[in-house]
Amino acid sequence: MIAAGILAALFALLLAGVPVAFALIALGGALLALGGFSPLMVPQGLLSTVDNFVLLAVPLFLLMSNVLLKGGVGRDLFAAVQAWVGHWPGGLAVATILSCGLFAAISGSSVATAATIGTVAIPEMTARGYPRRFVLGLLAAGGTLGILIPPSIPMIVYGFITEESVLALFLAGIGPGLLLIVLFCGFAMVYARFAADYRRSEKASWAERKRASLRALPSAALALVIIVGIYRGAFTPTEAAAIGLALSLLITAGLLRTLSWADLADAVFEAMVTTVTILLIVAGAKVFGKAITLYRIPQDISAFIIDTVSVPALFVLAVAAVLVVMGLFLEALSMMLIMVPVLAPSILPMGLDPIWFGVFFVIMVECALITPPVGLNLYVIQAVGHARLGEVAAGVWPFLALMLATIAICYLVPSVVLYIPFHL
Amino acid sequence: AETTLRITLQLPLKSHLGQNLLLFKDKVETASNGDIEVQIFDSAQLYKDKEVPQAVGSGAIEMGVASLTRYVGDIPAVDIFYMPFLFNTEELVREATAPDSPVRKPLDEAIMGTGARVLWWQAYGSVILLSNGGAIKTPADMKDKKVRVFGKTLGKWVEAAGGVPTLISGSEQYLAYQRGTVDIGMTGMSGVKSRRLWEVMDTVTVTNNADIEFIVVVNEEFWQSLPEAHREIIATAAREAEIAVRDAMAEIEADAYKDAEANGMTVYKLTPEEVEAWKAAAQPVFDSYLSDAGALGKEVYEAAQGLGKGN
Amino acid sequence: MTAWLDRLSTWLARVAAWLFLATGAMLTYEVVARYLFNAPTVWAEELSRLLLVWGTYLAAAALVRRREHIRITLVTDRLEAGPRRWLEGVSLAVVAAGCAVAVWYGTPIAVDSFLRGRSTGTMLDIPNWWSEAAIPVGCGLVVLQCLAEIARLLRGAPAGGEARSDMAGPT
Ligand code: NA
Ligand code: NA
Repeated sequence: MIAAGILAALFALLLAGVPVAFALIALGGALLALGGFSPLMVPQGLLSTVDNFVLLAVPLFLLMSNVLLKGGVGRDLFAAVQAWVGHWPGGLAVATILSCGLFAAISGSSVATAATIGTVAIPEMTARGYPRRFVLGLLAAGGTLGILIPPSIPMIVYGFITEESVLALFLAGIGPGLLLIVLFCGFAMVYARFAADYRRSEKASWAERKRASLRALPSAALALVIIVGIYRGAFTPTEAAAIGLALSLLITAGLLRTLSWADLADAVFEAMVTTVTILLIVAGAKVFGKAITLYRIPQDISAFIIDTVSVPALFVLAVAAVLVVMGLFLEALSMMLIMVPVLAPSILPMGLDPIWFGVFFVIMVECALITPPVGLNLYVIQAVGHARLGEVAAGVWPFLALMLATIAICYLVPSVVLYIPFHL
Repeated sequence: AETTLRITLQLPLKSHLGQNLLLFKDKVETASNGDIEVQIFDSAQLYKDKEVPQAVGSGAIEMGVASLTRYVGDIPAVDIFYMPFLFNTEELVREATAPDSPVRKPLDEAIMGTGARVLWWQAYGSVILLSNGGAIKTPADMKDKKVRVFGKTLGKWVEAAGGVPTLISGSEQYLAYQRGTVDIGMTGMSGVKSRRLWEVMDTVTVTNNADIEFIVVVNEEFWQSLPEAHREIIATAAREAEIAVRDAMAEIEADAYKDAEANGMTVYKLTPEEVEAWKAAAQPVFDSYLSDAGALGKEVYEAAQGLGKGN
Repeated sequence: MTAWLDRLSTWLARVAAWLFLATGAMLTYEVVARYLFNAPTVWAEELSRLLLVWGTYLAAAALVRRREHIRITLVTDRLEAGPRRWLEGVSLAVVAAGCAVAVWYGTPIAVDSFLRGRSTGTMLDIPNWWSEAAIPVGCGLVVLQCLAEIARLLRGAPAGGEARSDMAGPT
């Protein structure tokens, strides 16, 4: 009863347009005061959340991907991939997906991935006669690879909330990320086979391939350095982010000479904006989380779940259903911050691996990013592709289905998720 | 219930510290006929270990469990329990941590100055080293190796022994060992078991170079506001819980060693000569402790020197 | 007065942005020091956390001015200008109230640490109030900025504050 009231109050604040971070802080503070608990927990929660080495990876990965973005790396990657696979049936679509996957390996954000690749791929694909809805849906969905393939900001946040290893989460995202790329590419090729009115790209010449590949090589190498560095344990995720940032500056400002001083200032400022908005939501969620913990709400929900749901599959299904519905209306990261603390106490008793659950949750966040009416990737592609929200939303359904299918596969074959971190 | 005691704990309820809190809860609630209710918030739902001193001292929460050495920023002398090889046998630890011990008592009194009363100490066991392909018998085996540490004093010890201290959080330990981010691990023996570290390290060197203690603290202002009868009940339960966990610790560690060996780990015990070599290399740590920890540090250090003389 | 506050918060946000870049430099140095010289620093990890805390809270007010904080505009986008301004005023008041709590209870925490001379007790062992002060200072700026925004709305300014920079998104 109390839980329903709190949820209603939260939704009212959010829909009234109160910024998510402050809605959580204000409601958390009010709950503490009403429950006779100490409001000292407000400043304590705000400080302890941000005073954290794991979350330091957030600004660093954002800086890295912004620097690369301003340095035109997205365009270079897309050109290189297109030179190799563009002439296949559905080749341009495949090139787009692969570029999303590649950019995902240097960016921790779905929105950045969608915006970067979308800017270059949407005009190209529509010019080649690909149906608009398909193009927009593909980019919105392809962008979400940004948070499944490491690095990933939601994974950092999940690791922060659950005290699980961010490194393990990163490695666990690789398998499902590759699976999703394969499914997306397969769908695109089948789609192209049956779609009548698009023109194939010409096969690129060897000279062109060489030129494009050479230009994209440093960035691709950067992606490799980061993944291998993380995989080999050379550095922690936060350090990987710092090294990645240093190398990205070296590549764009030094090697390619595509980053001006003004570009850098822009990149730094934009990364700051995103960082602050994210970290304040995480901090707000911490305050709110403390308040509902003192009301024993997560504990009661967890006890209820464990009493009523006996089969893990049912639990996963129920959580997925709830998250799909919440994901329609809630901003994706907020959804994770509100729901993970509530669900976390049930994960182990349900016999689920916390790392597996983290990857599952990230895929659900990806879904939330592309479902209307509230879905950041939809908004980004809408802006980048000069389209209506409805057009983008109409194009994402097949990809959404593939993402849910990926979850089913990961449930049935957990090694897709867990083999790389723990057995490779 | 008339009174609610909320306790924050960093570890999960199933850890031995969590189980010890359950024992306390049970005793208090029974003895008070339900007048006192104890609520345990485990797994850092409310506060991480490092926040507990401030949270309890300020009265944001009534009670909490913190590792003793968390108080080092306020009371540098608490690091006496991390002084290399100072309390490296169970007898020395028991003597040092007894409620009236000249080592513990002044520390409890100093902690009172932060606004928190120490109710009881929870034994957590000794620090050991983990490695692959051979034990870390002497400082020579640590030379230029990257060693996982938690906290300043252990870092200084590693440095004094010629190693390279590297801060790795508890949750990143497994992968840091598996991937070789550090060469030598450092943890308590119960951590080896709960994190299944035998999957990634093959040797335990029983250094017992430091003693890990947790303390259960209650906000002093809140404590003084309680009726005398309630304080009595709580203090009695606290004492019982303290004895229980101290007695259980030896068994918990013995079990952890057994499990480690059953899972293929080699357990190496230092010889007296090797311990002497370690101690000799550790002198700089003592020097800097004595210069940083003030009069209180000197007092408990001298008291520690007097232990184990069989008086 | 409000113009002066805008300039201050914008300037602080710029500082914050470069502080984040500085953390990148520190941690890069840390990795290099550890691998090349086998000598990790004692300061990189803690100083970079300190910069993260200050950067985040110093920039919060400017983002209120620019309406950059993530919010759900599903409902407000569909409102007429009048009700929209009204709702925005209420929303800013909620932000101010939440931050006022943080200022009220956060100030004694920092002051107490300062008076007691409490320090982190970690490798670097810096005073606790260095980081604790960021909450009352940053949240205090947010309260002031909210009041300035509400004053603007009362004087008839349209909802939406200063134009947003772009669509940088969080996830
Ligand atoms: Na990524
Ligand atoms: Na959505």
